Amino acid sequence: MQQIKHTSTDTKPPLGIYVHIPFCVHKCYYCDFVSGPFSESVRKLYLEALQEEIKNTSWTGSHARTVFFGGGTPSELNFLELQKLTTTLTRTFECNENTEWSIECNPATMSEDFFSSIRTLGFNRVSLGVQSFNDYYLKTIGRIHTAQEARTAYRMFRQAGFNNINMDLIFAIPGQTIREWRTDLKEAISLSPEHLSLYNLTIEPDTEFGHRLANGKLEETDEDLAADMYESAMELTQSAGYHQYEISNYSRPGLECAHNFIYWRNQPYLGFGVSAASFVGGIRWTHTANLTEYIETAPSGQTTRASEETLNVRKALGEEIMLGLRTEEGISPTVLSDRYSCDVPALFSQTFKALRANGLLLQENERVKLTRRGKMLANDVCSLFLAG
Amino acid sequence: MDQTHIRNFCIIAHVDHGKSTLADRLLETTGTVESRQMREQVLDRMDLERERGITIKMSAVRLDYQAQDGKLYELNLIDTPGHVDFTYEVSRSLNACEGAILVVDAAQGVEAQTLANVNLALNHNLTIIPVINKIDLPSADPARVKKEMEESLLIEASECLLASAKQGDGIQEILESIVQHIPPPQGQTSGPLRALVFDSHFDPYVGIIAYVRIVDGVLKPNMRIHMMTSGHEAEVTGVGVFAPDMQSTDALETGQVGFVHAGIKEIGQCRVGDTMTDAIKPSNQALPGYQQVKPMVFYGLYPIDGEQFPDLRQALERLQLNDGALSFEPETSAALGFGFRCGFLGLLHSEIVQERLEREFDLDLIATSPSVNYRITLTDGSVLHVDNPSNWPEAGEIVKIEEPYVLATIITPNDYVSLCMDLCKDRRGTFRSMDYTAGNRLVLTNELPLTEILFDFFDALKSRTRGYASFDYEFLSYTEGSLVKLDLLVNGEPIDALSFITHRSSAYTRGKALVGRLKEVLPRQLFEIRIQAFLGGKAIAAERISPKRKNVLAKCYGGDVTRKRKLLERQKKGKRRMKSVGQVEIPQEAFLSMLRIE
Repeated sequence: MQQIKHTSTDTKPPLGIYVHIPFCVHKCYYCDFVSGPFSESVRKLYLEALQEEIKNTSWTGSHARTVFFGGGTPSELNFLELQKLTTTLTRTFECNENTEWSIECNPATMSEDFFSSIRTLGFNRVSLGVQSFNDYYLKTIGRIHTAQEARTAYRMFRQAGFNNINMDLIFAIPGQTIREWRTDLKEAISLSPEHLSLYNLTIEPDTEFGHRLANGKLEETDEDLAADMYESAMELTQSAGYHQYEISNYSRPGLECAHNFIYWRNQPYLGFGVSAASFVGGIRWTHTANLTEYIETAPSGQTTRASEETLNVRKALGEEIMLGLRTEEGISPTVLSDRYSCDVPALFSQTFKALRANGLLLQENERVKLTRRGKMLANDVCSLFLAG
Repeated sequence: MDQTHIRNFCIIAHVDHGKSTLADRLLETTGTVESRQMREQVLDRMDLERERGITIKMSAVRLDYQAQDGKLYELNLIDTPGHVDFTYEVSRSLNACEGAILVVDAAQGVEAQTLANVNLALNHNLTIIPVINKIDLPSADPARVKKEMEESLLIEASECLLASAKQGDGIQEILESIVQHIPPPQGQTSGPLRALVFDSHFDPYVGIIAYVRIVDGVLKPNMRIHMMTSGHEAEVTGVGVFAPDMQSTDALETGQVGFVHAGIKEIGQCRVGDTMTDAIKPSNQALPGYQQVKPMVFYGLYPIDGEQFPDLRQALERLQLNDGALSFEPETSAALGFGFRCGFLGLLHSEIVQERLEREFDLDLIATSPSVNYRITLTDGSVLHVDNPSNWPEAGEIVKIEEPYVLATIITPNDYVSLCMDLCKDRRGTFRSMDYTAGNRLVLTNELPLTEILFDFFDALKSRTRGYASFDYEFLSYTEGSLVKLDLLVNGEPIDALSFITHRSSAYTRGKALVGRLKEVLPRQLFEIRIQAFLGGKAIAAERISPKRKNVLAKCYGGDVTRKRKLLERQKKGKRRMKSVGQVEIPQEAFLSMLRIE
């Protein structure tokens, strides 16, 4: 194993573009992104820095396959702020009618004309942070909107002509029963979005929930209940005609999120904004999570990097398998062998065999993928392929 | 120095009655250590001692004291450990002394170890100087304590000195009393040399440094010495005194206390208790050796990282150098790998050794269940000593099992006496006696199987008596008992490190409790785990752990990849550190929590 053949030797490969908008009215209890409420002046400085950072990128002229506005709450931006950013992006990168433009929206933050106006800016996909249709649990996790606001927002996007809408839902919220979760999911399905992201609540250490857990003020949902909820999610979506193309993502055929697929297929992407991550030419780096530092360094195009790593071949291979196995398409040992100049089937023959025997992996034609049980135990499976 | 101006003494006390503080004041008052250099409790050199507030290893120090008679005296203070586990060390230092200062807390009064220490001192024919300390405390009641001392120690109330070591009161009186009441040494100055080794430590430059009391004759550098027990001979490379740091001198004379080194590297060549004599002009009679100390408590110590095994061996050898009561031999466990079966005097001793290993030698250790030494008579008439459940014979081969019993002395306020009696009864104790002391307290003695006090007995006693009871024990005899070996199995495979010996009457309860506990601490795995407790060939308790169902990261997007990869890498590394029994992976934490709680 000597070197990795990257999908493109081009110094300017086609990219996924991520733009981080850290503003939030209120931080959700489970959120560990860099986000929160900011003063008007900081907000202004941030957007200027972001603008400059995009303009000064070394990848000017690269083809943008996808553009994704995440946060925080990108829908908190007003039309003019958004317009400045999208204009800069289209001037800097080569976009075409196939470029997927996604934006994450919070049901509570949008003005009436927002829904139609963002279409004129080129956004063709929205991701609506519904999380639950039960106001009690929305409060539990620190959301600022109601279920009714989510329903209204969804209807408004439809009326504005959006035909690619995602809904984020969370399960295994402390206290939530399996029935309540199924009710939530059924309502989401009844609205018939093109895409569903169904996440098991993850309690990260540096969050409100994390602190409560550490102080014994919060109990994590029982593993078996969470497993039942996950199985329910797989079942209900399947019978409604969605296909599970990744551990937590379901869509109508052909309407998978192209941007997220770039991550799982280990393809190049570029992140702008505080704490944003990039992966180009085998190098992965993350911008500083310090807002002040970001604002100072971004305009020069030399944003401070909190971390940067060039993976060795073994680690890179492990990572690509870890990511690939999350998807329904799985991995192709032949393709990987070629990319990493090694014999992947031989390297992992014992592991493959044991995992197949335990009903965690299956082979379909040229590809190896997780079984349903494998999806539920993906960490146990994936860790076996990692270095270390 | 003329022998008549030498006084050799020690201080004996129950834990926390202020022995170390008194020693500090003696050093300060005699100018041995200037007050500005004074660290709290100079004699307790180890951090561990300072933290726990107890003295583990004794030190010796020379104080020069100008007495009221105008003469200069050399006072040698030989520090002794205060705890019940270290009676043998107390005994060692008592052999080097003619007198003892008995310190009793003015508020707490006579405690279990006070009794034990006084008996020990009287057995060594020492002159006792009774001191009631901490008289500055608001709760001090010297009149009551004097009465207690009269009744339970047969010490005249009028002889008791009053002091507050903390405030420096009464120190002068104590020093005068040492000079006036403790007899001077009475050795043969003309030789032949006889020096008692009462402690030692290892110095990487000069080898073993032996702490000696010169009984007869003189010890000088360049002398050729002969160790009367080991037979080893060596040339003295240096002698000196502790003042309190080591200071070389030209000679150690009859009656003096100090150190000697002779380039000796092997522990066995210069054991504590041996007599050092002149190789050219030897004595033909060794000094009475110390009582052979026998470990009473045994368990396996294993490095968590298998690669630290050689380091653990070296560390144990080092500790053994000045801790003759520590024994060890290599053993292997299917579950834990390579380690050592260690023998200790008691639980505190074992805890201290373990802490020193972890702290001073930077080792991460895991300890198996403690065991005592059982005496088993087999069908072929032979007698087997077993201190490790792994060596327990098959039930069919056993005729008789005997276990060590101790005589436990508890001193408790009246109000708690029935709780103490209940505790002893619960632990298979037999009531022996009950005596009243002054101040509403009782001295309670019980015969107890040693194994019953290994498991949280002291904690239970403290919590039942809200900390008011004190406790000490001494070995009594071997007594027949109905004992069985209990094994814990996962998926049919025994976990050797968790086997233990227990009385038949509690086998079922303990088996059930341990199985339940193991169920709690074992992580779910990809298959079902059966946990069983086996007594002989029969399962007496069982539990199941259903297979793990879900272990997956909900999100893994661009910003998460590195973090999530590292998370899974750590998970993989963690698995490699687990010990496998059959197919079942057991994390170190599971062993730790199983072995911590009994």
